[in-house]
Amino acid sequence: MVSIARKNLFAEKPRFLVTSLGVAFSVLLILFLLGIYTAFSNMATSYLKSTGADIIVAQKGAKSMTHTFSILDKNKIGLVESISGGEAYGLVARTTNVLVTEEDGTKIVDFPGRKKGENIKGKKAQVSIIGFDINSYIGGPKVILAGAASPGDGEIIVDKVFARQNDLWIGDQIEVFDKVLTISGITEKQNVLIYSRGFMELSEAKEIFRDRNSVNFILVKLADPSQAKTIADRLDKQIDGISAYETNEFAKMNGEEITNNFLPIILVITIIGFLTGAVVVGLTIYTSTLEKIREYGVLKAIGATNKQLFFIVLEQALWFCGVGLIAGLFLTWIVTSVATEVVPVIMAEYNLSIYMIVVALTLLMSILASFVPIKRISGIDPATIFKS
Amino acid sequence: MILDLHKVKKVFGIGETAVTAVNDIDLEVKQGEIVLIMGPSGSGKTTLLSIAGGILHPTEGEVKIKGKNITRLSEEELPKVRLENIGFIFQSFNLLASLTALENVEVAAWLGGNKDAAKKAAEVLSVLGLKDRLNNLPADLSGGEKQRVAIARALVNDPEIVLADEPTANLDSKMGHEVVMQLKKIAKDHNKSVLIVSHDNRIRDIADRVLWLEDGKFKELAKMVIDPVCGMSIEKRDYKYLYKDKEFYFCSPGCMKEFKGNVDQYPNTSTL
Repeated sequence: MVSIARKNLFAEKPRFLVTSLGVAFSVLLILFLLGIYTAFSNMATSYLKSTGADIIVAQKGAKSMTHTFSILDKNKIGLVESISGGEAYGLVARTTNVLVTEEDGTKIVDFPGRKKGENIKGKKAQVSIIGFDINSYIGGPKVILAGAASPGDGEIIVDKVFARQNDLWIGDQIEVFDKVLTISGITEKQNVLIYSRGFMELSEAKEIFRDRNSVNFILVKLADPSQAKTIADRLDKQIDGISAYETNEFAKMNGEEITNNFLPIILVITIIGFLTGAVVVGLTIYTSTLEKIREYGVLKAIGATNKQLFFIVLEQALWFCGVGLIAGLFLTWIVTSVATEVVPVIMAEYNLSIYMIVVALTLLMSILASFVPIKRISGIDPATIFKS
Repeated sequence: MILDLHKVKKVFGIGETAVTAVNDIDLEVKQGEIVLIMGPSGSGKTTLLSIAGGILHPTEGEVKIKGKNITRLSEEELPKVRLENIGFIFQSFNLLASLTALENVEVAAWLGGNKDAAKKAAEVLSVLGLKDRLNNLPADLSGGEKQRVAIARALVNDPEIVLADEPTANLDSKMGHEVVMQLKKIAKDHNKSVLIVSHDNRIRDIADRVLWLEDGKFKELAKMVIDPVCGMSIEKRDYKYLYKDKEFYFCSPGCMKEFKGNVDQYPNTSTL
């Protein structure tokens, strides 16, 4: 059967293309934002999930590695080890400014430990210094893209986004407080929007922060990971001043801390994108319905039911949204490729759930966009077609 | 009886603004009969056609198609009645602009439940001499061809009655004649009833009956004459002029003045 909707649409190709492009941009906006959201959600938890630890011990009440501060006496490492029956390792995790040294040796000044008023030519960046036990590699970076996996004395492993942003590579130097560190390795997925993780040897990290007697967290590796919950509860009860969590639980709390702040913004922009698409399609279909109102009247007069006419309008909306969706997916691929290349801090990850959400939203967009034109069609009096 | 209108009345508006478009009309159309309804603009012709076609509900009276009373059928029930029993031909063709000739007819066939709609549409169009124009858009067709496509659309579901609203109004005389002949064929060769509303006197030649509608009522045809100047059918009561013992009637003072000034140019009038 000939599709009146398709025929009407393709009879006016420029309008069809412009409207589909409107939908495509809505899809791009929604998908790209959800992709960024997913990437940062994953990044907020991926490090913790990949530390190799089964339990993470923090100062009592500390629920994340990002926004709460945790200090634990280093003596607690032995205590945790004996009660858990596993291997326990200290971890330093502190976010601070680092100085990226320029080739001419000039440096910026306004970061901790320096006086203001010196030459300002270098770059400042925020790094979460992770000091980990390099022998067990518990808490170390999972992936090494280039260079050495274990940082030696005076060395640090940085994230590739941080490296690209600051035009750094292996052998270049950064300065943390008054300590100059040489980049010995490049890792990935350690960039959490507002800071990037840098990995170094535990004792050197403690030295930098002038705190030799404490660590920030204790990571526990168990012989039987299935006992993690039981042992975490036991540690909680038997050691004062600590909170022990299963790694996944701690990772989840970290993720929520970031995503809960991020989600409302994403949600609002997604709604704006969705409504923009719906309005673009709705307006176009409404205009074309008004233009074709006489033809709808003719169809009604010769015997088409309102339901059949509704499907014509809905099919039009589905065509706009379907083509817009495909174009939007393609646009998103282009924009993601270009944006992540040009602005390294931008990361986007797409999975089946996101695609399903976007398809569902596009479908909803079609239905919403059809609503007003359908109302208009149901009100057509077929007798009007006798008026020449 | 294919179409039976009994004491049909249609009033638009209410109270002081109420206008009676059709008043107490009785009309029967038999199978294979061509009935032509003529009358001045605003006389209620189109309203009557809409009521006969199940598009407009009468205020009073009954409408029966093949004996079935459709007067009080709902908006959900009427489309089926129209599809199965009535074919419409409109003054301005009313083809769907983005569909080809074939598709315009195919849509109607599909709505009518024809499983092989495209084939059926092509057959009907071929019979009407449009075999080579199947894939042309309406914009590429002449007025006569457009009206033939509209006729094909009206016939594709094999209706009992065809209702035509000013079918020759937008056509030149040659095309108009073609369409008139097609309407005659519909009635005489296919035994369909045809109800035509028109100002076109040419259609009178093929009509089995001609009715004059004025002010919402049928009037006696014997009292109708043709204005010798403009050719319009008018009542014998308006502007009258006696010339050489013969009565002439005019639709307006203008026509009468024109006649008086050039009386020798005009032939005798004829009674309808």
